[in-house]
Amino acid sequence: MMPDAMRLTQVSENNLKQIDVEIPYGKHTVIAGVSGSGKSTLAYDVIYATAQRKLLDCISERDSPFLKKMKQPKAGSIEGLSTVISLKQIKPNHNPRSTIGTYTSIGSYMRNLMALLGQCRCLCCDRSFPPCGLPALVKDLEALEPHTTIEVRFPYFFTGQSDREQQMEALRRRGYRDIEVNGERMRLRDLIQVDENVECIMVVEGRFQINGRLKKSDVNCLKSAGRHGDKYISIELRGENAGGIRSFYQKYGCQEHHVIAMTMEAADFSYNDLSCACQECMGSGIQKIVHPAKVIKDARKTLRQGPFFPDVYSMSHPYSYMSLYSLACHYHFSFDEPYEQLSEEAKDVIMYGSGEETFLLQRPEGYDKVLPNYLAKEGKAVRFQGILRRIEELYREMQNEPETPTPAQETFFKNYMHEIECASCKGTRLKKMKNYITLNGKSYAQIGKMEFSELSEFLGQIQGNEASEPIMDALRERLELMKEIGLEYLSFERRIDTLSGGEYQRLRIANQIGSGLVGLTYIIDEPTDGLHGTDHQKVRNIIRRLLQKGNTVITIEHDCGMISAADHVIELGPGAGIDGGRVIATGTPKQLKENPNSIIGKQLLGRTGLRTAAGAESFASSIKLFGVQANNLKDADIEIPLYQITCFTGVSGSGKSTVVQDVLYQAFRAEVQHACVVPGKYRKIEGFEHVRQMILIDQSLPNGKNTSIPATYLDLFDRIRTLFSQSVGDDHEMKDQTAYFSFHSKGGCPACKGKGYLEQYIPYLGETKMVCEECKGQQYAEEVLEVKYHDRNIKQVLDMTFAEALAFFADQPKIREKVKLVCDLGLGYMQLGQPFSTLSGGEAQRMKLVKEMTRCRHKKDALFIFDEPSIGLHVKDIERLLEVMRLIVKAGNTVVTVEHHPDVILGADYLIDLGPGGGRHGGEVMFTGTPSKMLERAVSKTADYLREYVQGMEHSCEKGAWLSRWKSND
Amino acid sequence: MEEQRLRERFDGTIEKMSAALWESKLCIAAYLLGSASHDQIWEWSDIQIAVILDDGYKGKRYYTLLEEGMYVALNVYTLTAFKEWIGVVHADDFMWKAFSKRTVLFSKDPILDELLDEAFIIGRADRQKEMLLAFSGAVYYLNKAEKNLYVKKNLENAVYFIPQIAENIALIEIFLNQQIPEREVIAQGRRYNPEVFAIIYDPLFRGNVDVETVKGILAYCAGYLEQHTGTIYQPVIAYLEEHGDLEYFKYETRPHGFGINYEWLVRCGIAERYGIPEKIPFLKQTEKLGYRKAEKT
Repeated sequence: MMPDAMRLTQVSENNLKQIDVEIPYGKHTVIAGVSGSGKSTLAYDVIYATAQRKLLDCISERDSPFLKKMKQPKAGSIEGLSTVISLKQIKPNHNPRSTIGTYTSIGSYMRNLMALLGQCRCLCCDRSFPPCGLPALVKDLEALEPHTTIEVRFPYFFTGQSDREQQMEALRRRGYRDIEVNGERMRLRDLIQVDENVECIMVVEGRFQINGRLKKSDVNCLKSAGRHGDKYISIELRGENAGGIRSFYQKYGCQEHHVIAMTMEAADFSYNDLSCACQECMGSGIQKIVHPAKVIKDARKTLRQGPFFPDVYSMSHPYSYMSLYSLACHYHFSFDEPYEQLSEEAKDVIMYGSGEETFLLQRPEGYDKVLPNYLAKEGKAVRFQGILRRIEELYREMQNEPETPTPAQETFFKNYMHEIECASCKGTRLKKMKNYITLNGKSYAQIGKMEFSELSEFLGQIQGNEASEPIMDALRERLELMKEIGLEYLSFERRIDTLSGGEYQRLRIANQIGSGLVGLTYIIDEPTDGLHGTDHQKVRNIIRRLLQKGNTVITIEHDCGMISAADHVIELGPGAGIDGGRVIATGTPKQLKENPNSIIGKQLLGRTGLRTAAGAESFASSIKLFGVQANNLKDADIEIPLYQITCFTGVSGSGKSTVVQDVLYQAFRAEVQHACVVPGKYRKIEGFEHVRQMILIDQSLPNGKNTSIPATYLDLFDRIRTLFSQSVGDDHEMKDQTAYFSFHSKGGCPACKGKGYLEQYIPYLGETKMVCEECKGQQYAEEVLEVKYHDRNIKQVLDMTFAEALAFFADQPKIREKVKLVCDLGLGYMQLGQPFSTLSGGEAQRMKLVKEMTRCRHKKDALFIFDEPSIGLHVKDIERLLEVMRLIVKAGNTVVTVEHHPDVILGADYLIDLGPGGGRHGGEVMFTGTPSKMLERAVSKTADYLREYVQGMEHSCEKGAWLSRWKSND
Repeated sequence: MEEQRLRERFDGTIEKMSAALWESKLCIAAYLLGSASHDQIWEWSDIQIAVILDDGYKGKRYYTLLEEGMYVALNVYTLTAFKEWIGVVHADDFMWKAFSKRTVLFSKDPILDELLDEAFIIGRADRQKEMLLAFSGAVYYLNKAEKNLYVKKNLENAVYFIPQIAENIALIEIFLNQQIPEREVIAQGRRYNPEVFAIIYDPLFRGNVDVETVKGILAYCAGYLEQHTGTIYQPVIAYLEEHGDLEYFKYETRPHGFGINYEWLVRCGIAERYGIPEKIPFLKQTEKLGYRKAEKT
């Protein structure tokens, strides 16, 4: 009999304090509590890790010795576990070929539908192509008079990837002997030149004679020609009464206008099949080019001083110097004028070269550097390749090399090149001929760009048949699901790596629903993160769908709405780190409200309302953005007040991050800092003169080695190591030798090189980390661990949480100051030595904030940009975050944040709401003003949600006390 | 008399084999190759037959048979594979040379015969490539011979290399005359330029070969090569004229042959060596060898 619940007893992993937990099957259980209270430990390190171990134990006896070495959670007993699937917020993969269509199978269904119902129409005559297969052609040919000679040819289109001579040599190496160029016969073995204007030649595949039935080799000849000619075959008939050339399209093609649409099979719409993919971008839909702005280091410098990055064009190299000087003389532009003041023609020739035009290499007057003898001599006629052209050529060469690019090459091209839509296929990734196949007048590429809501309507207009009905049903089901999870504004050709963390997570959940598996337990990490409040209900709906299919759902959640909607809540706490790890309340949300111990119960009752800031409608100084048109922004004019907290709101995809990161931040870097970046499109920006510095604090992990830890990132580790090195006796070899206390330097365990674990490949698990048996995971050599500072060794110090470190380093003000700031931002539960790879986006962002605040604490006129800083934060921690933001403003700085969380929005001084929807429905300014004005008069989804939120709070509080208090603050 | 009897025996076996192959529906054509096709036979000659089958055959490519006590070698091709092979085969391929002297036993496909006839017309691009390779071979052996004669004073070794120089010069002559090389290339080359071989090859077979004779031969060879440099190195020299150096010069030669000998151009004073900086992990300040147009030219 199936157990009714999962039962865990005496769980003492990490900070959990011998807790007993019961998670009912078939229900939605929320694990809640302040950050660091042990939620993730319970969900992932205990439940998920145990289920994974047990599953592997069943399927792989061979690997059981390795499994024993895997860390086992500390628990008395764990009973009634089912198979657990983890849906953590992870970054989507960066493969440009991975799209929503490939991920959700919508693309695959659509391809099948195109193959079944698509129509081939000639763009010239609008006639549909009659289908014609190879057997029919063979039959036709066999009916010809005996001794008729057939010559089979196929078209070859020159590509731009290599020169024509090389392409013809490649044909010759494949065994082809003859070609026809504009009807003229040529032999590949001769020295031939093909006119540059000729795009297509006919290649002779072979000849055979009709003599009754065709030989297998004759049929193979036809097949081969069809394969190489993209299903187009040209046949010349020679013999009595059989003269002339016939065109033949294997399957679909207009005989009159030579428009070919190839076959109509599902695979024919796949850009991963090279025979269908655009030949320029090979199906990626993108091209990499160099942007002129990226190679210029300082446009205020003259050519003589060298305005370019030295690794792109170094003026210290005599040849580079002389050739640019000679170029300037030849084209009559100044060598001593700032680059930014040069004419467009001059800039063009510098960037794109002199083409075929040559000029004489000459030495500038007084230039005494010696030109190396291997280079061209003075007075020789040379050409200038152009800075951008040279980088593009190097890139092409690198791509053609069989070896993998070196990290230095990758960095170089990453720095100077950027992706643009493929000019050949316009981002459709498929060959142009695929556009001739349409479904209700739309090509596959056009359908791929439709938003899901639009696609649903489109499907409704299609007349299906018996064969297509199951596919259309599956498509409708998936599209309905997309609508339910609030992703109806996306299209199936959208690249996965362009999705936000929240969008990607919802997509993964939708995929699980689509899989139809039952009896599983899903652990979902904060599914409402990064979502507008109006979308929270959609997340609840999809969790219900998972439950309806007979699954169990465990979510880690801070959002009160989500907690209220759950069937069961386990509240951990009361504090973080050593102050957490206890079950302080458990039961239904209703039971929690009645439980006096429960902090969440109070929140659900609305007794912990936030204080909100007083905003102002008018302000002394501001940054004004005019005509913002980046991405979906619709020529928006936006004014951002300075020395306040400004919050950008709006549904996902409305354009918030575009304005703040792509336009405001990048424009400041380009205009004020003269950085080599290309900001999003805008007409004009005013007010940058008020801002001395702009600091972006986003959710990406800070740069650094994979061995980075918070202590090294915040420059605490050097001081801590110094304390240890000074604590040993004068005659000790480690005296004043800080390197001994670094785990990836002298002091590290020699077996694992300071990692504390060894990596071992285990089937089904891939690379798996196992505790190092030499140091038992301590990372340090034994003699280093013998050194103590205040009775703790270096490893014990690194294992401390920041909250513990605050007391431990009470006598070290420089360390204490930073540690306190970390605690103030709600990260007191984090360990000093916690690997950066384990940080969530929110944690990484706050860690960056600490660093920036310690760096600029004495500075004024800085503008801090935050991207959803509330992610992963408990309500109590949000209060702290807002306090820190106010401190920043109080010190004479400005805060601009993108946010969904109502408490942060209401806590801001000024709101800029974008919308009304996401994607093409967004990009307009819906409202600007204080939060109170938004509640009073704004018409937008955000305003509606905020009003609902405030009313809920008001309703929960006695006699509207909360709202009155809030209003009195404004 | 004996020879005639042997010939009759060979012919009988070939006829029998040919008839048997004709009977096979799979068999499209059969060609007699080797001595039995174009040369005199003797008791140790074998009968080499190439058989072209329709596609679909997946058996062995080569069989050795005993027929009437005779050694019969069968080379088997499918039609598509054979056509592909004809398309890519190089002039130095053994089987290609054998096919150039074929005798058609039978062919059920007249198009195949046409294709085979066309296959032995060598194109201008191929001819230029083959000449460059032969030229490089001649230069290589000329260097060896000169070193042995002038530096090591080893006449025997110097003489050893002369037939190899002659063989490559013969190839040049054959290609210059737009012919395809046969097996005995010196004899074939002599047909087009008897004077050259009378000077560089024949003295080796006339009485004593002394140092002066060899010096004369080598000097003649060097002169011959110098005289043909302009024609044979035409693509290299044209590139040099246009670009000034050969750093980015690319010329696809076939595998299994000599590369293009640029040093010869230096010897002739057309090009000169220069250094191009190159990073080598285990050496400091290295330069790779490059060639550029010589100053005096």
